This record gives sequence, structure tokens and C-alpha cells, in this order.
Amino acid sequence: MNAPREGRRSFADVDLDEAVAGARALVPGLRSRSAATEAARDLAPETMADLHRTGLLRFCQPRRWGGMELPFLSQIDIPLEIARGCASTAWTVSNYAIHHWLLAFYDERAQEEIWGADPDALIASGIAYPQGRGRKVDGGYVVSGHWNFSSGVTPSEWNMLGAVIRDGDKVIDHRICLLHKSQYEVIDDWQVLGMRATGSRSVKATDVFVPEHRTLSGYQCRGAGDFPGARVNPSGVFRLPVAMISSHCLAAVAVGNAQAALELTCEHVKGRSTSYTGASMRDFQAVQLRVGAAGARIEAARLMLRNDAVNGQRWADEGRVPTVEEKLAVKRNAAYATVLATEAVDLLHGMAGANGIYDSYPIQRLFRDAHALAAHYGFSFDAHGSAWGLVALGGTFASPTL
Amino acid sequence: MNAPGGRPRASFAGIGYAEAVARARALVPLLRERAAATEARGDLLPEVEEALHESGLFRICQPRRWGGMELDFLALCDVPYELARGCASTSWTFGNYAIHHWMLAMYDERAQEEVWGANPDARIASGIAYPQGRARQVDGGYLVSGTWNFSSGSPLSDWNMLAALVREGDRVTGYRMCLLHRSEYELLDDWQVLGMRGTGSQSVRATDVFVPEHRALDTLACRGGAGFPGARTNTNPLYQLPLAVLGAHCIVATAAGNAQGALELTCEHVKARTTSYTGASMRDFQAVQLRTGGAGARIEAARLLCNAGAERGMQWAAQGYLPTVEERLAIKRDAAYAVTLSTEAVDLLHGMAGANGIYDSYPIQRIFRDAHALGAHYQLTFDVHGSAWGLAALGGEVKNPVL
Repeated sequence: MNAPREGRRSFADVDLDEAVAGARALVPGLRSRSAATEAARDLAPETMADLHRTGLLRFCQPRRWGGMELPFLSQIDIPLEIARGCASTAWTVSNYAIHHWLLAFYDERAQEEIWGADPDALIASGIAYPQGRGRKVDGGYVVSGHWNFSSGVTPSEWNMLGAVIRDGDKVIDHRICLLHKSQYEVIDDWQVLGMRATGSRSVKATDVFVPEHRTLSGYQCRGAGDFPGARVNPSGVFRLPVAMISSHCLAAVAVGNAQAALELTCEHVKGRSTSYTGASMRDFQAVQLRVGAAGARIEAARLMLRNDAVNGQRWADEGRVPTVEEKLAVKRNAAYATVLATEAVDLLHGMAGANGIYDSYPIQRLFRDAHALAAHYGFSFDAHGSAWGLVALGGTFASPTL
Repeated sequence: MNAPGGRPRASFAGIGYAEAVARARALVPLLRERAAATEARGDLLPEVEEALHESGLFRICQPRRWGGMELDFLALCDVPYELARGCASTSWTFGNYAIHHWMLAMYDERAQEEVWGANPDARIASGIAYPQGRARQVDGGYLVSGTWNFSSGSPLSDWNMLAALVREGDRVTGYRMCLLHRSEYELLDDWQVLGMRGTGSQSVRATDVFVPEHRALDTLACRGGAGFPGARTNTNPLYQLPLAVLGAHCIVATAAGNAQGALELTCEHVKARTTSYTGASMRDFQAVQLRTGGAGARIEAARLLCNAGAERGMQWAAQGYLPTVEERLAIKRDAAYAVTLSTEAVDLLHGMAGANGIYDSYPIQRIFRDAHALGAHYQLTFDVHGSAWGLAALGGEVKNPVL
């Protein structure tokens, strides 16, 4: 095996505090570009340049490839800060970053093929559901499918696509297949309510051969550390169960977006007074209560996500695989944190009055973004609140990849 | 030497954090079994009080030099949380006695000597949510009068911390928490209430009682930092947290633990239940799962909010940092929201108990009453504390002399 190429920029010495400070420093620029970014339906080129420059796409890439290899808490704190500037940008960053994290699970040959060629490679995905189908052939899999919601696909070199592997009618595996952009087509169906700048277009692939080492079984990502990449990436951060916690980075976007709504609202309301009586808006207790209730919800949501990330990291470091109930509690928390964040945005948008419906009013986009992102399956409290409830009540919950 | 009551005087200075929480957890079955009797008695049961004394838990935040554990402030969240899983009233009364030990460490050492020197297990009640008393300065101390309601644990108390406004003519000149001995105040048995009946939160009345200066703690010296008289002998940053910011966290933990008790009892009960006509398992209804999940998520959020406040307070104290008004109010906002979430959790669970849930014999019924009774405490009111932070966040000025 070749060592990572010399001469590439390395971020291996950047710690969590420095990375979060770097993310925070991007907020004013992101805020000023957010409307244009939304109109472009893809990240702004200057934003991409900032992200590459600061290494903020590589905070969960292994150090041996020049990444920061930060603790899993980075997947909360960094997207949360970036989302204060632009939810779509934060969402896309989370995707790129967690796919670097996920690539560390793959056979080292896949890492060599991608990071050996370019450690800054951008990887999109279609893994929320296994929308593809595959069959086993000699040396790999033949894969077809249509995956929607592939965030950040436009500038991506690669794509991780979930597929159900069947032998006849029988499901024998769930594989995440790494396809090069030359192997799939992008369908521009990204005309949506919110999160427009994530460019989450659909991708389509037909009978693509994917060699074994570019596929990762969902059964090897459940926290036992038995994935192929464990040989070269032994750090605990790569041992967290994927299906348990991989949506947390996106839930952090919901929280950061709500925090932005709070900051923009406070800024705006501070100086306002009512038209007829001239009373200061902030002296109305109804206004204070909406602001207070938003603040409390954001704090609760943030604490839930961070606590899960810290617990997940600790379990991984101790080599302990959490129980099904523990895994489902973590998923329940991601969904509830998003519920709280959405409630916070609604409380704040609801007091913007008719100004709040203008496209030019910043909270309007935040409101659309909040509701668009909360529609992600990982944040459905109906699904994840009840799954934990069932197990807490002594029932059985079976999911092959959990 | 024996303490009054014949109990051998013990030191708990060697008990660590994990052990204290484990001891609290171990008491849950006893408390759960005695919860109905505690409520009926209207006060701590003797066997429950004895078990708490033996475990040393009343003394989690008493200075080690008095035989206390002097644990991190977080213990005032984690221990009452565990106890409340068994009995909210016991947890609440416990939280009061335990935090008053913590507060006594702020008093002049002569007061500590008078109380703990005579009995380190002394039970101290209070009337401090509002300064309901009035005082005037006299030579060497204060003359204090007043009626204070909601003095939790007062029937068993040896002492009582009673807040009073000090006036000179019409002018307010100070805020003092006056330590009165049981012989100096009378109890009014007015504790006939919706819930939290086992806390014995009767009213106390005192008339023209002389309180020496060293037993009258200046509330303004308890806003964070080491400006209180007891700081000379009790140097641990534990005692330097702002009282008005974190003084209610022990009872916030009671709310979260009470909700957790409701969740555990509900799961236990619903696990085996089926519907009367179709025989369908209750737990297979997604509506049931969602109420359970909704409660579980809220309790987790409530607990994290409560504990995060205590941890931040300890951090501030350890660093000698005096938080801004907005930072102080954010902690109080979070505490009130934690109680809101806990009440919502209980309501979700009680709401699926159906008509069984109205029987006095149905355990969730008491928990439901307890949740709503404790949520009425002024410090836990989101209307007040949510809006105070909101005003500060909007650039307005919040005036509270004791914050």
C-alpha cells in the first residue's frame, strides 16, 4: 500500500476548538451570500474555496490522509456554527464531512483510489434509504437504481449509494456502493420548498459494476468495529454505529438554523416599536416569551445532540456496542432535537408578522429551510419516537442495519 | 458523641460522587413503596428520613470539615432526580434540606458552629422563594417578623432560613436570610393541597424575633464569588455559585425524576396490557409508542438542561467568573423549560392511562398531581423566567437586586 501522497496540505494538527472557531469565522460571509447561494441551488464558489482552505470538509477524515480526525462531537459543533450562517451550506458540509468519515470504514483500496488521487475529493450520497438494487457477481456487485436527495452532488467526484442486494427474491445484504461520477447521471429535480442550495438532485445508475472493495456492508457498521477499514483506521471515532448517529450532523444544522433565526430576530426586534403607540416591541411579554421559548428549545436541542455524540464516542472508545434500546434512544433524540428546533423557528417566524412572508426577509428562508430539512426521514418523530417507545414497552424492533 | 435522637454521629466526608448517586438509586424501591403513605402523612415518613440520614445523602453538599460529602454541585441535581423516581415529595423535601446545608456553608462560621456543632444532621427548612418577612436593624442584628408560606420540611425542622426585606423607614436597605431556631417560629397547618402533599410545606410565622448578625446572611453576598462570610472557612468553589441562579435546580431535578418515575411505571404497566375487545397488545399501537417516546425525549432534554446549568455554574465558580445578567437568566430560563418539558412528559403518560388514571390508587395519578403542584413554584415558571431572558436577549434591562 502507498502512503498518502507527500506535498498535500494536511489538517492533521487542527483540534476541535480551532476547527469550530474556523467555522464560526465563516458565518458573516455565509450570511451575506445565503440568498445568492439559494438562488444558485448549489454552494457558492467562494464558500467552497473557504471550506477547502480551512479544512472544514476534512474534519472527520483520518489523520493519515491529512484529515483532522476529530472526535465525533465535531459533527455537531461544526455544522451548528456553519448553519448560523447558511443552513444549506451547513447541510452540504455535513454530508461531505460524514462521507469522508464513512470512507474510512471502507477497504483501504477504496481510500487509496479516492484520497490517494485527491484528499479533498467531494463525496455525495444516496443512503437515507437503500433505493438501489444490486446482485453479487464475480469480484463485486452489479448495481442499478434511482436515488433522490443526493445533497452536494454537483461538484462531487464520487457518490455513496445504498442498495439492497438480492439473490433471487431473497435479500442477502445491504451495501453502500461507491460510484464514480462517470458511472451515474444527475437528474435536475431540485425545485423545492427549502434547503435549495444543497443541490440535492437525484442520481440514476444502470447496471454499474462496483468492485467488492468499493462497497461497504451496512451489517459491518453497527458498532462492532468489524468493517474493512478498521485495519488501518483503528480510532474509536470510526466505531460509532452508523445508523444510530449519522443523522446527528444534519440535526445540528436544524439547531444552528434556529439559532440564526434567534440572532436575526433579536437584532431586528431590538430597535422596533409599534406603529401607533410607539411602544417598544421588546417590552411586550408575548414577544419576550417567544424569544425565551425559542432560546430554551435551541439549548435543549443542542444539549441532546452533543450528549449523544459524547456518549457515542465513549461507547466506541470503550469498545461497547450499545443496545438496540440505546441506539433507538439516540435516534429518538435526533428527531426530538429537530422538533424543538423547528418549534423555535416557528415561534420566531410567527412574530415577524406580514414582513415575514417577503422573500427578502431573512427569517423567511430560515422558516422554509427549517421545514424542508425537518422532512428528512431521520428526523421523523413519528418514526423514531415510536420505535424507541415500542422497545421501552418491551416490544421488539428489528432493522438489519441498526 | 451522639447526635440528638441517639444516632451515632457519622462522617460522610469519604463518600464519593458515584457512591452517593448509587445510594440514592438504591432507595428508589423503598420510596416508591412508601409514596402513598408519605402523601397521607403529609411529611417525610420516619423510616424514610432515617434511611436518608443513614445514607448521608442529606449531607452531599455540607462541608467535609463538618462530616459532609462536599460533592460537586451537580449532586444537587443527580441525587434528587434519583429519589424523585421513587417519591417526588421525598425528593423535594430532601432537596430542600440538602441545599440548606449548602447555604449554611455561606453563613458566618459562628452560625455553622451553632447549628452543625450541636447536630451535623440538623434539618433546616426555609422560606426564601420570596422575601416575605420584614426586618429592621438593631444593635448586633435584626428584629424579624413575618409569615412565610411553602416552608417545605418545616414540621421536622430544627432551624429555618427565612428571607426578609430590611427597611429603614420606607427605604429597603437590605435582603437577609435569617436563621431562626424552631423555638422562635410557629407552624400553621395550612398544607392541604393538590399535590406534593408529603413535603409538609406549612407556613411559618415569627414575630419580633431577634436574629444576630451572624445568623443573617446578606443575599447580595450570594450572587457568585467569595463575598459571603463563610468563604473564610469554606473555600471550595462549590459554595461560590450564584444562589438566585441555581438555588432551584434541586427541585427542577425533582420534576425530571418525577416524570421518569411516571415513564417507568407506565412502561411496566402497559407492557402486558391488551385491549378489552380485540385483545390487541397496547404497545403495538403507534399512538401509545409515540406518547412513550414523546415522554422519554422530553425527560432526556429536561435532565440535560438541568444538569448543564449546574455544570456551568460549577465552571464559573471554579474559574472565578461572574456571569452576565443574560447568562444568569439563560440558566433560569432553561430550568423553567426543563420543568415544562417534565410536566408535558407526565401529561402525555397520564393521558393514556384512561379512566384508570383518575383512581387515587393508580400511582400515575399522584405523580400527575405532583407534577402540576411542583410546576407552580415561582422559580419554575416559564412565563416569568422565559420572558426575563427574552427581554435581556432583546437588549432590555432586567432589574433584580438579588440575581
